[in-house]
Amino acid sequence: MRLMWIAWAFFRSALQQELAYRADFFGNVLRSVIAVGTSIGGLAVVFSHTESLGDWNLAQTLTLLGVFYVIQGVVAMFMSPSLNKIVEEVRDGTFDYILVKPVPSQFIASTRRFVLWHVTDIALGAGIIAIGLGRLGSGLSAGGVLLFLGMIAAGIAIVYAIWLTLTTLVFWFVRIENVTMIFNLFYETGRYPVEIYPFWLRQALTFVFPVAFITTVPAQAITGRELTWLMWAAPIVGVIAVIAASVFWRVGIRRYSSASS
Amino acid sequence: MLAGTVALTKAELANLFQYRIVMFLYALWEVVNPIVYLVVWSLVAGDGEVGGYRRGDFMMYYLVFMLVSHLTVAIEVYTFAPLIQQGKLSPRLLRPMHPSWSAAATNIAYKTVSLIMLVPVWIALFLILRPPFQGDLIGILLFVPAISMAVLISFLAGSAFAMLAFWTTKSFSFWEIWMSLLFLFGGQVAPVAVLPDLARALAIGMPFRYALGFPVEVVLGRLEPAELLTGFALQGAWTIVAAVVFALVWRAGIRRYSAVGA
Amino acid sequence: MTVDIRVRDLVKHYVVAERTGGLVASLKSVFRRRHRRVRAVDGISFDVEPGEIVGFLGPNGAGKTTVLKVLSGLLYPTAGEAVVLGHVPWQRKREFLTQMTLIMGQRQQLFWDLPAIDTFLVNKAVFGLDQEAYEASVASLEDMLELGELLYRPVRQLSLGERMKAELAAGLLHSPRVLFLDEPTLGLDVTMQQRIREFIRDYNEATGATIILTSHYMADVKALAKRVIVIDHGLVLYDGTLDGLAERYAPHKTITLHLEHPVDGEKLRRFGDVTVVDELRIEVRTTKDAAPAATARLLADLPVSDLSVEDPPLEEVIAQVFERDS
Repeated sequence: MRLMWIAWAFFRSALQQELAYRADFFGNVLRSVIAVGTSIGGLAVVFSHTESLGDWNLAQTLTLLGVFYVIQGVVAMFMSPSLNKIVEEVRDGTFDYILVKPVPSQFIASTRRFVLWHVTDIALGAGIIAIGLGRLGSGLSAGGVLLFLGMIAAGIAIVYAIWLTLTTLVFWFVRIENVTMIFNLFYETGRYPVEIYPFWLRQALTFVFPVAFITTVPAQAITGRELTWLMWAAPIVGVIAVIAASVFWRVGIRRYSSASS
Repeated sequence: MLAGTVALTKAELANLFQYRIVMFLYALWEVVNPIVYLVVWSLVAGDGEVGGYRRGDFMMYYLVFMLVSHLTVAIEVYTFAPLIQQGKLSPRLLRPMHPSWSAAATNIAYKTVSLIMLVPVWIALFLILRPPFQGDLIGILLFVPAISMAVLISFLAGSAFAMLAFWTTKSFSFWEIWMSLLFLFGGQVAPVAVLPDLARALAIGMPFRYALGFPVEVVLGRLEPAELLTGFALQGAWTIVAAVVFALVWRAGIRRYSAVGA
Repeated sequence: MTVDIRVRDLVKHYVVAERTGGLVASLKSVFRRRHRRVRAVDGISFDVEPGEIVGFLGPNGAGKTTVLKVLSGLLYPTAGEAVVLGHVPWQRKREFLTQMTLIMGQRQQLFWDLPAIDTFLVNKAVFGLDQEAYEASVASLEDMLELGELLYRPVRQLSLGERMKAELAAGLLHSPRVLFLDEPTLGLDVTMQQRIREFIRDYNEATGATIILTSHYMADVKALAKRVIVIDHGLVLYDGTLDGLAERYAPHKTITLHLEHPVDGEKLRRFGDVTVVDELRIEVRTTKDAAPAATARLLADLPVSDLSVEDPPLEEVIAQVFERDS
């Protein structure tokens, strides 16, 4: 309950900071639209030469691309602003102010900031999902939508765990600025269903860096593809990943407290 | 001038080695995207042919593309624009050389270091995929001017976008738009020959292919003599255009910088 | 007798990577790095009683800030113990964290683009203050620091001194019982330093809070701390009153004389270590023991209109302490 109030206080101040700069809303929207537009263009080029890709048709792949942008928007809106700030603060020493606060440091580190305008990325992603589903024209069931939302939630939990883990590395390698880039690196593969990749890469993207759970599984759930064991595994993987990342965060804090001056 | 650039490059190298992991990540970044499209097109081609490319051709195309995209990538929006934004350009203006020389030094240093990281990854991929190489000596000889001009176009364009920071804090947004178009028309999403007719015609006319994909097509011997001729003519033309734009933007920008007094 | 802070044999070592300049060295460091052990704190003990103001003195890198960070729970010590308000700081219990504050003069916690009052509101939630306690706290800090409209201007528009005032207020909102102040007056102009100093003293008097502060400015320590702890190379060199520090480390005294008329230089030289300030004013340095006799002789032999005997300035004493140590 107390944490809710704190999160609300952070939210308010983050919103105010955002407004203090009056971010160039239309410029950013234009940028997102062009980025999304060119990647749809890319899909169109691919599908001008084929009917299906690893037995996903255009509509299904489009839906997956929508999921890709929704999750990317969530990351850009809620996760990267707070967590990238930590990397900065560990370097300049102001991270100390977080540690002396009587609230779990992971909570402060994860909730402090957000960037409002990325809501357009989420909206664009949702739009693409809608177009994809429209083209698919197979109709939606309440159960299917519920399953989809559950899979999205699991995907977001996994993404959060990855981001937190990467951020925690800063306690060992202070100089790393863009370590969270590792996420983008692997996430790039999530524009297409994990099934298209060769065996070893597919395994890596399922078990090592689970992009499969982040974009492929939710898209499978909503486009009515066959249910696989991945869907049962997704929530479990999500919970375990978040717990493991939190433990790692604590180890990182411990390291920060014993190895710096 | 050259000695100065060499000295600066050395200093930049020393600086970059401190960021060893970050460098490695940047290098990997340029591997991942081509791999995605390598996989996609191998799958689409199957045992057949798409726009003149067989499966092995796609593999070879994207492997070479990785190196070319690495050599041509412009980083000035990350390295040069912040100098302008934070008012740190003045000390560089006092040096007896154009600040773009030191930007070039940063660029060369970055590519050298990350190339060292990239090459083992590249060799490993090559040995795994073992694509057929069909180029010839002429292609390899022509590759030199093609890649040189591509690097130049990229650097000049990247610098021009970076210099938009003289006027706006949003130079990065404009750069992202350039990158999006580069993705679509530069030969990244597909070799230009594979694009649908309209897109292909656009790609051949616009500068993006000449900053990225053209050298790949040249070295792999994918172009007919007539295509080579128009390609080089257009690449040369775009190099000149890029140089002129660069010079104009610089002149206007520096006038503004001095007037505002940062 | 209860103490607020108790430190016994505190040790803090850490390891740093070393590298030398040049390209070759950089290349080498990619593959192999040399490490060096730094003994930041090397066995420190002291107690602080409730309501005391203690000044930490020492050159840069002496270990002052490291001790403060251990006491505020940021760092785990390598060995030794510390208890603050009955808690082990590095366990970072909520009860501990809500009763102390750490304010660093060179690092700010205020939101840069927002007025300070918005940081206050966040801290209010973080420390779980109820509306009444919050308002009372803001009102009293506003009053003591003369904040006024400062709180309602974006922090980036504030001067360095104004920002420090706001920082102090943000750090004290939850009425902590123990304050750790690391260089609170760093970089401020003389008047602002004095304002901050007065505030710290007033705050100590009004709330009875225990305060440890480090400062480069001797004036801070002189004005605030009755007790100083001199730290160098991770060790306590001296712990006691300021006067005692001068007694112990400044074995000489300075006798300042005002003369009625100029005296021949040759004649003055007989009195030992003499500095002629101007024609009518001279300074004589003597050992502490010889001071009374020298004073008598000076009075007898010279046309003295005024005379004073003083310890040398604190800066000089401190410089001497560190000189001896090294």
